[in-house]
Amino acid sequence: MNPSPPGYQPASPRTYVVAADPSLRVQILDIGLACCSLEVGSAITTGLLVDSATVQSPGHGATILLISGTVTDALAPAVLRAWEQLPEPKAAVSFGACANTGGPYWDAPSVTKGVDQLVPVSVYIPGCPPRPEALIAGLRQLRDEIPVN
Amino acid sequence: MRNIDTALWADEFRELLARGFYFFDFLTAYERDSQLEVIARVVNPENKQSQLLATMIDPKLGEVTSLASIYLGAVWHERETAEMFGIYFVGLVDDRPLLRRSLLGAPPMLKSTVLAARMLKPWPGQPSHRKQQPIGVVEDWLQL
Amino acid sequence: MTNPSGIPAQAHGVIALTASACTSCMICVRECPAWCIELESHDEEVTEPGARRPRTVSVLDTFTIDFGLCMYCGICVDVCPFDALEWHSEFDYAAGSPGGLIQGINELESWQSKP
Repeated sequence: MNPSPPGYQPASPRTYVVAADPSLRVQILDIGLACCSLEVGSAITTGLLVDSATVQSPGHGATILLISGTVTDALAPAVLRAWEQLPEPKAAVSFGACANTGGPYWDAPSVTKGVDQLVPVSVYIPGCPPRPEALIAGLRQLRDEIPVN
Repeated sequence: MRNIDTALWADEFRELLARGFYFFDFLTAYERDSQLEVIARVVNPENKQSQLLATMIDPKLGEVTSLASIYLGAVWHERETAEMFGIYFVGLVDDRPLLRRSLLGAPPMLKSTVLAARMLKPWPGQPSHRKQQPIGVVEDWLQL
Repeated sequence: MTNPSGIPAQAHGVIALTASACTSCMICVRECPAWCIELESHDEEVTEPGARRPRTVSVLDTFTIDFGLCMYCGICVDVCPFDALEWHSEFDYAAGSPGGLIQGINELESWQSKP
């Protein structure tokens, strides 16, 4: 595998609260690599996910690595590094067909066929792309499967 | 689209640059009748005019002069075209692959290249009583 | 038209199957660009009252869509000559494993009864 780009530093996770379920407070590091990341952005701009600074909410959730988009083999080391640098407790969520299995690029020689080859994925959100609402549903499912609070 | 003799490819772009076409838009390749054609577009941002040029690559040589010494912006496109189509750009110093992990193996964008994923996964549409081809695979496609 | 959650009814959420309408013709399987549909069937002879001889019908044994792989393009829905596949706007079916996104006849049929 190619080495990570020199000086590469993943961004810091941001804390959000699920508007419909304020007890669900999560820190998200979104790795948006393709069109799916627009749907994640849409979850924020439409108010499904609210920046934690604007809302009072108890609890402190796990840090979530949200991988939305097409992971190529060239980028895989950067995704792995982002996961390794996230503090515990943490969980990985795969958002959309590309991150789940490679999706439309299932036969492409340069695409990683599922991010679960890199990191342990807790929830796979289907869609190409999934709706912003599907992200919320996936986060709720994550809480039900592994207690994040 | 203007067709250029491969030997005159770089000269043509040098002249276009001198005429104000200083923005390098893109370069790619296209497999036309089992022959590779390199296509590039440059733009003159002052008068918004553009030029789309193409050259048929000699299949025996598989190479064309790099435009990297004329347009720095050509480097990325030539690296991509080199790794995807197996075309050698004479004078392109930076030959690091962009998306592939190494340049070994068949160039994935050639129609003759059978993608490994399609070799390994059985086509669910194969009828039991006769041979049928999945869409988008080469004629003599064979399952491993 | 929207469903109760305000999502258009024709949204590409999930693909619902009407197994009784499926003739196992394999057109959807062959047209799928992601190779994410698989089906198995067998032939059976049925004799209808009044018919002179029995006719052969294809009976569906398995039908699966791998929603982990599906690109939600809708080609299968469009090409089905018998309208056995249709879009449903449901989106809440994330899974804890890739295998959990592979849905069989029962799961695919269950979408029909959702609002």
